[in-house]
Amino acid sequence: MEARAARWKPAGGRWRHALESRRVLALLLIAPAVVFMALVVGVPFLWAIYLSFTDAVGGSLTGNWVGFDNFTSAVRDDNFRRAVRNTLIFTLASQAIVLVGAAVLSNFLVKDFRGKWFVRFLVVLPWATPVVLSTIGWLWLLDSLYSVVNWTLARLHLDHALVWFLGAVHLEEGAQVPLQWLGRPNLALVAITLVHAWRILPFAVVIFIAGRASIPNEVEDASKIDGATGIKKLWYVDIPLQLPIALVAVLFGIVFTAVDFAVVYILTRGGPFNSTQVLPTWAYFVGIDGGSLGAGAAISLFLFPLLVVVTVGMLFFARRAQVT
Amino acid sequence: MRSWREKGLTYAVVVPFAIVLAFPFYFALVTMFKTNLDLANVEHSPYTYNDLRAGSTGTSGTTRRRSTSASCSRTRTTRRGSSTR
Repeated sequence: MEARAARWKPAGGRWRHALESRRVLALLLIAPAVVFMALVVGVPFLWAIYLSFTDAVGGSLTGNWVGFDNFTSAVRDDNFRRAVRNTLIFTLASQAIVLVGAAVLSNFLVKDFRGKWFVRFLVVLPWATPVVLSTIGWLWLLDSLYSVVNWTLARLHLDHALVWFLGAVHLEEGAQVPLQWLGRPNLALVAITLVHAWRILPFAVVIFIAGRASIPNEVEDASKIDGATGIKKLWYVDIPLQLPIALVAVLFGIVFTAVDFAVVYILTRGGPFNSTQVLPTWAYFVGIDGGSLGAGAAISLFLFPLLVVVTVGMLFFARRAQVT
Repeated sequence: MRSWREKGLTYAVVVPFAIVLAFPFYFALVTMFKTNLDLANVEHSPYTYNDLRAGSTGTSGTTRRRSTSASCSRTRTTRRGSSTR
């Protein structure tokens, strides 16, 4: 050991040359991340694909090969179809709310006004809190008996009007006055959509504000000189410049909502009568609670094509947003 | 900021958003100090802390006005609460 240390020279040694070369050093530095991702993401994913073709049950991680049986029986199941429908409803509806809300709110949050930092702090809170905690808060806010929402509606004498309105638009017919936000199929859909929107909105606002800041002031000045005002400025200047970054925010929001398990699981457990199941919760109830590991894996894999499309779009638009 | 009208518009948009987004946290903060009895009483305001020791009729405005019905409902909720837990 000492002899080797004595022989060591700054410029000598095969390994030192190897480390100097970009190819080796880059591989070496990125290897931990790649290995980590392969172990944490790759192995479970491949295992899920394997399990979805077997009749594995809870307690064992292997099973007999059954081909596509798990997939075909999942598609024939009404609960599964409803879960797919609900996943799409939650994702699209909440993202529509988020897009409009974030566009409006970010527009005003970049202006100067007293107490701006405090308002920004309040706005970012839902995103900064773990989703499980804030959803438990919502569970109490939407409680069947002690709901704060219902209390407020009753004090404002709006509860009967709301029940009438829900019946009039055929959203929830036959509802009664202490509204069961989580106990009626369509009301539960509305409640979960709103909680999702509430949770994602701050994230979209932050990204929108960042996108706005990245637009150089010269563009603003040039459009002013050219006499662009109001709607025309919005349509020809603001929207085209912000579209890439807005799309990034929406695609992220789609991923966060589509794969979300906690909100539905905590608020309704997929109920009433499996009417608010989404793909993650349905996969959990079939695979883990029900013990049909293979069938659950098959259900969860139905999310994969959707997420591939969204992820490719995300990477594409993220690159475009960087360039502009 | 060009005018007070623009400022007013900004507040009119920003404040409702902030209230809706931060309300669950305010609610959690208030609830943290409440007793179970206070929470379980549907006549009590969920927005504020109601001091149960102040008197048998409670302190929130609505309870004071309808003290008999409030105390009735409270005993009812209490009994139900103790039987389920």
